Amino acid sequence: MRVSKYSQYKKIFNSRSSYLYFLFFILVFSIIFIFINIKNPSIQDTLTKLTAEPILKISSFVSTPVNMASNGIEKIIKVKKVYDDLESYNKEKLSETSNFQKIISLKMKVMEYEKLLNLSNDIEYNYVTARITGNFTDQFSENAFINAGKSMGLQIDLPIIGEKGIVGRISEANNETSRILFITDVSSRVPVLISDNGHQGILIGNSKGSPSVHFVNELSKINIGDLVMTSGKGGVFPPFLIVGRVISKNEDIVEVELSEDIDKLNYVRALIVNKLFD
Amino acid sequence: MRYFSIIGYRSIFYFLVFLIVSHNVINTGIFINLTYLLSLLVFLYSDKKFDLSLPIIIFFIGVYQDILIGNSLGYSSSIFLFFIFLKELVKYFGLYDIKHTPFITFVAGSFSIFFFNYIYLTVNYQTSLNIFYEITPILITIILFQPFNFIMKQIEKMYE
Repeated sequence: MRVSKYSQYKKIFNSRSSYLYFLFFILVFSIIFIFINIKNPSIQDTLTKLTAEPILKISSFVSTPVNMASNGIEKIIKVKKVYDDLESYNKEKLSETSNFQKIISLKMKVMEYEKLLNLSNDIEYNYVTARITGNFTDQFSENAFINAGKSMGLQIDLPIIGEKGIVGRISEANNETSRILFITDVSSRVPVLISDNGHQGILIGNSKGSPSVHFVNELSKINIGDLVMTSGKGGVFPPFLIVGRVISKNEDIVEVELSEDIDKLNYVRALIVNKLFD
Repeated sequence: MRYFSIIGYRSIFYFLVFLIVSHNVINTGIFINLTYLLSLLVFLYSDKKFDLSLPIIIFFIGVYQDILIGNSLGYSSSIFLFFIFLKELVKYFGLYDIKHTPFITFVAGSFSIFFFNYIYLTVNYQTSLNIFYEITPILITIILFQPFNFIMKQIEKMYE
């Protein structure tokens, strides 16, 4: 009687101890596989580049029903919010007008001062707006896919902003999609300025919640509520993009509340900077 | 007929795991971690036979998840396989059928993975992780142990 190879293997592993050895072997192989990928990132990069787009398509297709339902609920909540905002907007319309006039006059003043100081022109940006197609909130990593890639001029390390401030940078650019690494990710490092006095530090992500600024020199001069902006050092993020506000400080760390709620992002903009800033 | 029923149960399990992994593209917020939920599912899945295909398929599903999430390849596979191995180890010593042992094993496994991750990230990235945000998904997964266990047993009974 002819016995298939698979049946032969099955017979060998048909005892608990052999099965346990097999499991242990494959577990060890899996752990070694991680370390190979950490030591040789090129293997992982090549594999990811080849498979990311088709895998994302499969994943998006499979998750369409749940995605539609969750988007529907989100839209209903948004419509309610828009209605509430409209009501409060109508109430505050008068005071808004005077604020607007103040902003215009301040802007005019700044322009005058810049002329007097003979400052160089501002950095110019182009925007590429993209939709977030997959948002990954794993325990320790924070990243997302957007539906724009190299074909639209995106490349690795371009800064990504939301409506109110920066959210991250591009960590992987494919033809039609790109992966964003959020500033809340543990591997993210952003050089920042704190308060009007411009104390410098490095914003380090800590998974969920609020990222913290490390390596700040004069911590005692920083107050709760101070504005945190990008410093432009390092050549990835242009200067003076809003990051958030200081919410607490301890011995050597300043905790920052981001201006942008990353979990609720649907659309982001990639900044294509036309001029070198560092 | 019995052969088909076993295939049916197994297919449902693989389909469910694949479905959950694919839903990583949906933002589930800070309180639900799909990797831990999948680990729970993998841990509760009971196959009476020593099926070689299970660890191999789970390994590839883990790689699929790693590509989606952007983790180091092999990370999710290691977590899933660790839970299967843990379960088989407990079974090997004949402890699995004792009341509450599966639950205690799962809790111990979850916390050991959590502490390993936490220490690795804190040392490697020199960042202060918020323990509340990190531990909540694990606690939620642990709370879901009994309901998931009940559902899995019901599905298993249907296909017996």
